[in-house]
Amino acid sequence: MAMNNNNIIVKLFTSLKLTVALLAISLAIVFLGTMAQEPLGQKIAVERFFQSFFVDQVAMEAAYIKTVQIFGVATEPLSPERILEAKRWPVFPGGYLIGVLLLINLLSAHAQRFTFTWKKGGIFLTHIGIILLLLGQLLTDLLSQESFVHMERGDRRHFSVSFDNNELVLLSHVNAQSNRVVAIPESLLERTAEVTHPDLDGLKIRSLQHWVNAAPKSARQFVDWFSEKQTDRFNDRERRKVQLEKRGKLGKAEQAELDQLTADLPELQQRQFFAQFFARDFYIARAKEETAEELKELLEMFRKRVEEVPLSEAKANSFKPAILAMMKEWEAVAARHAVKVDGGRLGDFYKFVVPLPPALASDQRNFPAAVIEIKGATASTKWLVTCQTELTQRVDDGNKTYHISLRPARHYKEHSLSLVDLKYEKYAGTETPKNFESIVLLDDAKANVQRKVSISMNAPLRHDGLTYYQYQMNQNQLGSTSQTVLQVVRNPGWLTPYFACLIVALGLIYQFLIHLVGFARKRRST
Amino acid sequence: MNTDKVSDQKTPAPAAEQGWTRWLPWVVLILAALYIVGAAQPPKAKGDFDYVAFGRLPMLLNGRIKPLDTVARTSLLQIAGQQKVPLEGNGPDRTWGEWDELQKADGGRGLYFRKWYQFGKRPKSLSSTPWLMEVLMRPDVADTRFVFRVHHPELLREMGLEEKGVDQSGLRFYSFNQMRPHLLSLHREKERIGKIPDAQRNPYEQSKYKLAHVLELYVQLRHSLQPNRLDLGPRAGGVPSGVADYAADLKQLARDGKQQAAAFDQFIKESGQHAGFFSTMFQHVGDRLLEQGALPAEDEALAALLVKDLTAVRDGNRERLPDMSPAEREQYQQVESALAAFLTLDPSRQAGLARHLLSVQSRYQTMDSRANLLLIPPMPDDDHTGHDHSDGHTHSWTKTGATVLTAVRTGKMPEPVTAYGAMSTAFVQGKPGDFNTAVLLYVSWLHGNGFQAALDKGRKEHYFNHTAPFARSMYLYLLALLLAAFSWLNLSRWLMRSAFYLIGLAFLIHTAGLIARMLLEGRPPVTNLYSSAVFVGWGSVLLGWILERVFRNGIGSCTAGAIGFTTLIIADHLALEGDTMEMMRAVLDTNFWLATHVTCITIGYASTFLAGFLALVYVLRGTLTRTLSAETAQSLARMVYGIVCFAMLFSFVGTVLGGIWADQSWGRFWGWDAKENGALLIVIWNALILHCRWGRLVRDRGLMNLAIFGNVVTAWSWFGVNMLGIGLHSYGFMDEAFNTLKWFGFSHILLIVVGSLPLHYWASGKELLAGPSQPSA
Repeated sequence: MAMNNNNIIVKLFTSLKLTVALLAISLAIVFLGTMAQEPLGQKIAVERFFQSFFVDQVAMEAAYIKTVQIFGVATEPLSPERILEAKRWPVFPGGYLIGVLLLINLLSAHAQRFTFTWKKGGIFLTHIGIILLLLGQLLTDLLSQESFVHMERGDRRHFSVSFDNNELVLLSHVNAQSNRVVAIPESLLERTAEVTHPDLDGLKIRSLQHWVNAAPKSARQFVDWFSEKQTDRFNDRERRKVQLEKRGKLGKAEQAELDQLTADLPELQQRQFFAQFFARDFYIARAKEETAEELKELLEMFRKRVEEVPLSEAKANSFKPAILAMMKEWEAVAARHAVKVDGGRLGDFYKFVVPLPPALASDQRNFPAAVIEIKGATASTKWLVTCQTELTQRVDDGNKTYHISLRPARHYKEHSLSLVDLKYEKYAGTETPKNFESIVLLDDAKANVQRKVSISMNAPLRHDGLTYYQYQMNQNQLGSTSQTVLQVVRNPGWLTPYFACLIVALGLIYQFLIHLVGFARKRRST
Repeated sequence: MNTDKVSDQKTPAPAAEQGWTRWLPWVVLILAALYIVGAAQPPKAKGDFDYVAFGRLPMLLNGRIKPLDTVARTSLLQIAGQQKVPLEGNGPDRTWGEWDELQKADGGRGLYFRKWYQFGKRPKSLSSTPWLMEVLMRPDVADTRFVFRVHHPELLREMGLEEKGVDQSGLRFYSFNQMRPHLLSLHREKERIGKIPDAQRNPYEQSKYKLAHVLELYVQLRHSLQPNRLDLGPRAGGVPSGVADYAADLKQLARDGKQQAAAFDQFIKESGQHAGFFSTMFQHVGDRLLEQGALPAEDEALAALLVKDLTAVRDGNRERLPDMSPAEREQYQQVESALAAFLTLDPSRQAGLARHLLSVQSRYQTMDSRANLLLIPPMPDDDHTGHDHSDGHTHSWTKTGATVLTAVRTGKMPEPVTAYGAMSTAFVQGKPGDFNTAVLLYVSWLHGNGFQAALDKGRKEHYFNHTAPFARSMYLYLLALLLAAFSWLNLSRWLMRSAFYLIGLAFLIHTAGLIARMLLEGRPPVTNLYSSAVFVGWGSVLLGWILERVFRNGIGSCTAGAIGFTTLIIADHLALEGDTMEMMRAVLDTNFWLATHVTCITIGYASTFLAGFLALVYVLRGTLTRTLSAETAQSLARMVYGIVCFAMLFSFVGTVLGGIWADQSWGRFWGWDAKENGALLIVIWNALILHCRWGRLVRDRGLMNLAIFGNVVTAWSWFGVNMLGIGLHSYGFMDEAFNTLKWFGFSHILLIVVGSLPLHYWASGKELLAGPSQPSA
């Protein structure tokens, strides 16, 4: 290749110094990226450190927090909001940048400096393998797609579901054999613009409210959630108080905190007590009937309960201020979380939606929810949709009927799997799993394949560019294993690392042998 | 210099050694071999009870068949951190004696174990199996043994035990009797702490959790053979918690149990109550009544006593009603309804049920729920596959409690239960002859009923435990290390040769141990962190020994000795976590990948460490002594460079094989999992060293410093990433190990600083400055 040897840029890109520097930086990235995995969640840490050109300041902070934490310095953990913050700026080179630079470095060094000799053949091979490995990894990042198949005995599936993506589905009957499905990606629900589709015959959909991760709750569930929160608050503070008291010597701030806790705790305890025993029935009644004379009715009920249990009058009266305070708070919380929709199976049951922090850990998923408005030819109605349930709701628009639901996005296949049997063995006397195995019937009419396959740990099924792995076994409420979860991966580049590694290994072994022979010869000649 | 001249010669010159010193290495080798032969003698029980035969009996725990000896060793290691229980020591006023005597003075304060300088004192002690026998069969004695190791001062203060127990240079040991009042609160605390992620627990919480855990283990063992009582309440009557004559009890159960059980089943059916719940309730009643003395013999009196106790409980519950949580309320209602059903019966039926519940149902059910050992093999007739148990029908071994409860209903007690009953009675009554006969009879029963494989496994593993090959080779490595290091001081050839021979012998034993483990487990050498330490040591020693064979300058021996000793010490500490041959989770259960990926990656670790230790030899010898000549330095550099190449090859191939395994089982070649990243760090670091060298960015000393840092990187990948509590294949958190890791890191960084000092500060600086300064890649 015709290149100017003295060009400073050429010199830089072909130099071994750059290689060493890049290796050192990649060492730092790998280390920091590992440290950040716990605070950020593995998926996000991988995206921010390895699958990006630059590492942002939040990700760096996460790595820093974990690093000082293992050296015994306690720090505030990062909140999910902070992690997902939009304002981020680059502070450190990321995996892609280093990968690209290494590629350039390698290629230009070979073009410029290296002349092939048998003595350096191993190094040559090794570098080709490394290039292939880097490219293969990039290919995997770009093209691979992961999804899951959940099956119980006897189930037949010709689709897998996504772990991250969800869709709003409108299903209408065309005739006895087929349905028409319109799927709207969840990302469109994050905006408030109207959505429509030719297949919907003029139906318009608009998202009014959207939660990335949320738990819809019935009135009773909502009350339970609130009283649990009271108990948690009480327990947390009591634990903190005990902790402070045990320490003995306290600083000024800590002493003030302890005093505050000592003062607050009795009230908190009363509220917790109250929440558990008296408020439930009342608030369930209230959520149903919306009565106005809340306090009166509450105290009436309270007095009646007091008579039932051996509790002194004085103690009962002392509860009053705490109860009032809690009621006020309760009102506000209920108003904030209430959703008002026009009906449907979900809207009738779920009266509240409690937002949850976005899921960060790699084995947790988000359960989004939304309130949507459906404008049809005759009327406009509001609906609650959520991923927490698989129930569909019926929407009537004139003479047309749709079934709507929010569900994990589906990837349809041309073949199907039916679960014939599953095995879940544990070692005797332990909970350690010994074997997971799903026996499925693979049916692909197009390829004329119909066979029984066993999928277990370390023994996946490969078919039609997809690989099915045994992922999990779930138990039902009776404790028997009934559901298998298969992970489905489409990765067109899955073979590249195999080749790359073979080439690198050959190169290294070749080079190592050459050194060994040379070393032995040298020794013999001395 | 003598060494360096020798290192440059093609073959060692025995002529350099004169006279009798020529034979010294052989003498050293023969002495060491005698030590090994002595250790390999089959064990014999000291004393009348044949605890060796007892220790060989097979049973099932954590999914694998093993001898009771292994249970005893691993349990005692987890509880006390050592394999012996001293029975004697020093009193507060330096009087020597048994603990029972010493405890009488000053309320048991100020006791301490034998000090290292008390050469004349040889305390009587229990080894692990006799200790286990006490725990299983004579809990009243076992409860007085000082075995529970606690050292967190705050925890001790909280339990009011600071001055109690027995001291061993800061570590304190306590008996179960001393722990008993805190058992319940510790159990509750364990549940609370269990919810906190490992990495976020503070040292206080960690020691509390650990203590609660080992107490739980002790309680489990205590319930495994016979229905010993835990006696958590204050005991007034002084009824022993053990069983006086277990064999007789079992005989009586087999005779009368059937009828009583039928009456109980009848009642459960009629009243619609829950049998397990009833038994638990009566467990508490039984504890309370037994505190007041033995049960009355007349039905009327017993019934009256029960009614009184139960109504008192009910009234107490009613009073607490307003303070109960919803869950407690539910339980309360269950108790109410159970009591109501019981109180409607006539007194004679009440007494009959109570006797069954107190002496059988609740006792054995409690025993079953608390025990951990599956002592009872599957009975020949309830196995449909005939009499062949050779492939370890592990799923059908059972706990004693459940076996007895089933047997009571059929009226026929299985032989293994009665065999253990006979052993217990003989042991409690101090009849060694009867005990040994009972063990023998049980062994022959196992023989006759298709358990040869299990017996054989028990016998072999017992012998393996007894000979402790890794511990033996550890001592030999240490000795070799010292000899090799001394050989540089006075440059003596015979010391160097002795070290070389010793390393060879230790390596043979190390290898034998490794093979024995592989045969016992039926697996490739590396299956968990413990075995990785053993294997890293093995690989490094092999490489070091080869280096010594080639260069003959003591450096190979010294490094091999150092790494062999260190890794085996690490393995020894890791064994404190429990059974080292634990079963493998489904995804790891593949011998092919364990044999290829894990072995390669471990060799990668081993060789990176070897390079690092050679570099340490370079820096320490160069800075502290005058023995590092330019030639030695150059040969060291050659060694390090070669080993780094080797390490690069294996760590890369191992990492890649790991990726392929991950692709086969999880569907991705590379997932940036913590452990994967750790392996990648080693590969990158080795690549960096090699590129620095090729680019002439470093010379010999720079190479050494980089190699030293390689130790830090490897230690991090091997242990550090396991401590982050993330990732698919982390082995678990080890807090104490982490501190060691920190010091390991700091000391290495310090050594790198030392290694970077200008040469004229080095003791060997002059030689190095004078010598050839061309890098020798």
